[in-house]
Amino acid sequence: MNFKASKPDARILILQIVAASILSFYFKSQLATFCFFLVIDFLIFFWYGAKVFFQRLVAYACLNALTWGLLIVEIPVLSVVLPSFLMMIVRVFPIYLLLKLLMDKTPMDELLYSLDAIHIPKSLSIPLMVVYRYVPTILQEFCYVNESLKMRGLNLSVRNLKHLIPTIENYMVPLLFRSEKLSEELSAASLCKGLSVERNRSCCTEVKLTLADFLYLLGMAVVICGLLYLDFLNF
Amino acid sequence: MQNEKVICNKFSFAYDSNTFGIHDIDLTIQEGEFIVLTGKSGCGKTTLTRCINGLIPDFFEGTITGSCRVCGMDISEHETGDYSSYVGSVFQDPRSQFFTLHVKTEIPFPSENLGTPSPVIQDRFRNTVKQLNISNLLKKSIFELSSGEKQKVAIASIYTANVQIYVLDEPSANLDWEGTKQLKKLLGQLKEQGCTIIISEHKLYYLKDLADRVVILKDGQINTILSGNEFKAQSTNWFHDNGLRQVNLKDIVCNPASVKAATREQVSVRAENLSFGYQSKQLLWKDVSFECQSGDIVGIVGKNGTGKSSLIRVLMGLEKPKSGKISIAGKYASKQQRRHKSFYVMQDVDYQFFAGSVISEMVTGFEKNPTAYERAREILRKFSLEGYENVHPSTLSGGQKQRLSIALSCMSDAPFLYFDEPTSGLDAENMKLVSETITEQAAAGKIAFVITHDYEFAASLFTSLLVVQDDHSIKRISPDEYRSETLSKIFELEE
Repeated sequence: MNFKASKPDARILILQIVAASILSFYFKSQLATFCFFLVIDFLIFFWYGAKVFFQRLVAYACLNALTWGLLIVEIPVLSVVLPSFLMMIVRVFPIYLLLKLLMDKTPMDELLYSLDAIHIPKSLSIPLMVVYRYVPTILQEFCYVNESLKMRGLNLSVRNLKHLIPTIENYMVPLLFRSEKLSEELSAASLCKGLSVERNRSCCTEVKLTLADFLYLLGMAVVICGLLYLDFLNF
Repeated sequence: MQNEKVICNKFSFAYDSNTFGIHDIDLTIQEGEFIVLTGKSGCGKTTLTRCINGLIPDFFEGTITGSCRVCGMDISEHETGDYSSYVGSVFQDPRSQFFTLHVKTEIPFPSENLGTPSPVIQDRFRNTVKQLNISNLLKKSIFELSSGEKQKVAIASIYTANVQIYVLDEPSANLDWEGTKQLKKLLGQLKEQGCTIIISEHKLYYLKDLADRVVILKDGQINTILSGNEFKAQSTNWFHDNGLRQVNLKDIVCNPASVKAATREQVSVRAENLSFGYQSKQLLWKDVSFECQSGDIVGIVGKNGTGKSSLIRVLMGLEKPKSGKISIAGKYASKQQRRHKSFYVMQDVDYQFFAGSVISEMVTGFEKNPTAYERAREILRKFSLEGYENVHPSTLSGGQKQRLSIALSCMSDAPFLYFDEPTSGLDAENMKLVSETITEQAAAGKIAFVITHDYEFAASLFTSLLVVQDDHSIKRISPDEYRSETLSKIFELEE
C-alpha cells in the first residue's frame, strides 16, 4: 500500500495561488495577462488533459470577447455595468483554476495538515473544508428539490414565472431545512470522529517538502520573472 | 469493573427543546457484548446511542438526572471529543457521515484527528484492509460507493481508530439485502474479535444470530431485556404485539395481495421496448416491455445500482427513455403528460415539503376552497396528523413526515403513484400503515409502483413484480404469474 503524499506539496500549491492572485491584478500588459493565463492552462493540460485545457481556453476567450464586444457595441446600461464585472471575472478565472487544482489534487487530510503547518487557524481551515466538501452535496440536494417540485408542477418554469417569489420560496424552504439537518449530522459525525480545533492532527501520509517541491518552486519563480519582464516591456 | 463499558444508573435525559428523551434507564454493558436497542419510532433508541457516544449532553443539550458512565467517564463531565478514542459511531445516513471525498482518506480520518502518529495509522490501515477485506474499495471516491460499501467504509474508519465500543444507529436503513448481508458479516467479524457493539435498529432479522442481549425500549424507558436466544425464540405474534419487525423472515407468509380496483375509472400504462442509460454510459436496462392495469401494486426489486430508481423516473416523466415509448390508456404519453398523472413519494421526504404548514402542504396545487380543506383534514385524521394542521411540516418527527408524504399521495388525484423505499427507517406499525394506504389507493383504481428492499413490507403488498436484473434486463412477473415463493427466491432468504 502506498502512503506517499501527493506532489507538489499543498503548501507549494497554496503559495502558487497567492502569487497568482497578486500577479493577476498586477499585470497591465494584455500579452502578459494572456501568457499568465496560458501558463496556468498548461498546468491544467498536464493534470486534466487536452479536453479540459481547450474548454478553459475557449471559456477565457469568450469572456474576453464578450468584454470587448460590450465596449465596442454600446448597449444602454449593459455596456456600462457588465464590462467591469467581466474584467474582474477574467482576472479571477486563473485563480479559480489553480484553486480547483489544489482541491482536486490534494487529499483533504493532507490539505488540513498543510494548513496547520503554515499556522492557518483550525477555526478557519475546518469550515473551509466543510464548504468544499458540501458543495457537491448541496447541488445534489437542489436537484432532488427541483424534481420534487417538478412532479407537483411547482418548479421554476415559464408558467410559474408570474408567481416568482412563492416559487423561489418553494426551493429555499426545503433547501434550508435540509442544510440545517445535514450540518447538524455532519457536526455530530465530526465530533464523534474526534475533529477538534484544540487537538493537533496527524496525517496518514508523510507530508513534507522534498527536492521535487523546491524544483517546482524554482520553475514557478522563473515563469513569474518571465511574465513580469513581459509586463515590463508593456506590449 | 474494568469490563463494564457502559453503566447507566437511574439515568434520565430530557432535551432542552422539550423533545421526548429517555428516563430511568438502568443498563450495564460488558466488554465484548453485542447489544441491540429496538422499539417503536420515538422510543428513545437514538437518544440512548447519543448518550453512549458522548453527543449528549455536549452537542445535544438537555437535563440529566442519574448517571451514565462510558469507559469510566461520566457523560455529564466530559465533551464528545473525549470519547472519540474509545467510542466509534456509524450513522444512518452515509451522506452526512463522511468528511473527506475518498475512501483512502476517510479510513484514517478519525485516527488523524486523534493525533495518532503516521506509522501507527499506516499499520492499522493495512490491518483494517486485510481484516475487513476492503482492498477493492480503496481507489474509489465516496460518491462511487454503494450504500452497503459506504457503511463498510464508515465501520472501517472507526476500526482503524482502534475504538473499544461501536455504536451504530440504524445502519441498515438504506441498504439492500446484499448490503445488509455484507453488514451482518462485518458485524460478525467485529464480534468475533471481541468488540463491544451497540446497535439501534428496526430491522431485526439480520441481527438475530449476533445479539447477546436485546433491549426493547418503550416511551423512553426500558420495557424488556431479553437474551439473544430468548429473543429469537419469540413467536411471530409476540413481535406483532410489541410493534416490532419480525426476526424470522421465513415465517412471514408471503401473501400476494389481491386488489379489486373500483370500477369508477380504469387506467393502464404500457411500456414498449424501453431502454435507458445516463449520458455516455452504457444502458442501465434495455428492451423493457410491460403493461399494468388499475389496482396493480407493482413491486420493483433488484440490487442497488441496477436502475430501479431510473425506471420509475422514466415512467413518471422525469427522464426520457433512450428508446421505446410509454402509453397511458392506449395513447402515447409525453414526459409532461406522465408527470401530470403521477405522484412521487421520495425516500427522503424532507424534499417534498414546501408550504408553511401541514394543511397548506395538503392543499398546495388544489383550488383552495372549503371542500379541499375538508378533504385534507379528513385524510390527516386518518393518518393521525389531526392537531398538526398548523405545524410546519419540517418540524414533524420522522414517522409523522413519512405519514404526511403518504397523506399527500392520497390527496392527489394522480392515477399513478410511485414510492421509493417508503418504509426506510419505519417501525412495524408505520410500515403497516403505509402498506394499508397503498392497498387502499390501488383499490380506488390507481396503479402503485413501489421500490423496496424490505421483504417484510413486500410480502403482503405486491400484486406483481418488475425485477431489475444484473444483465440489464427487467423481468415482468404479472399478477397471474406472481406466486408466494417468487419473492422469497428474489430476496435470497436463508434457510
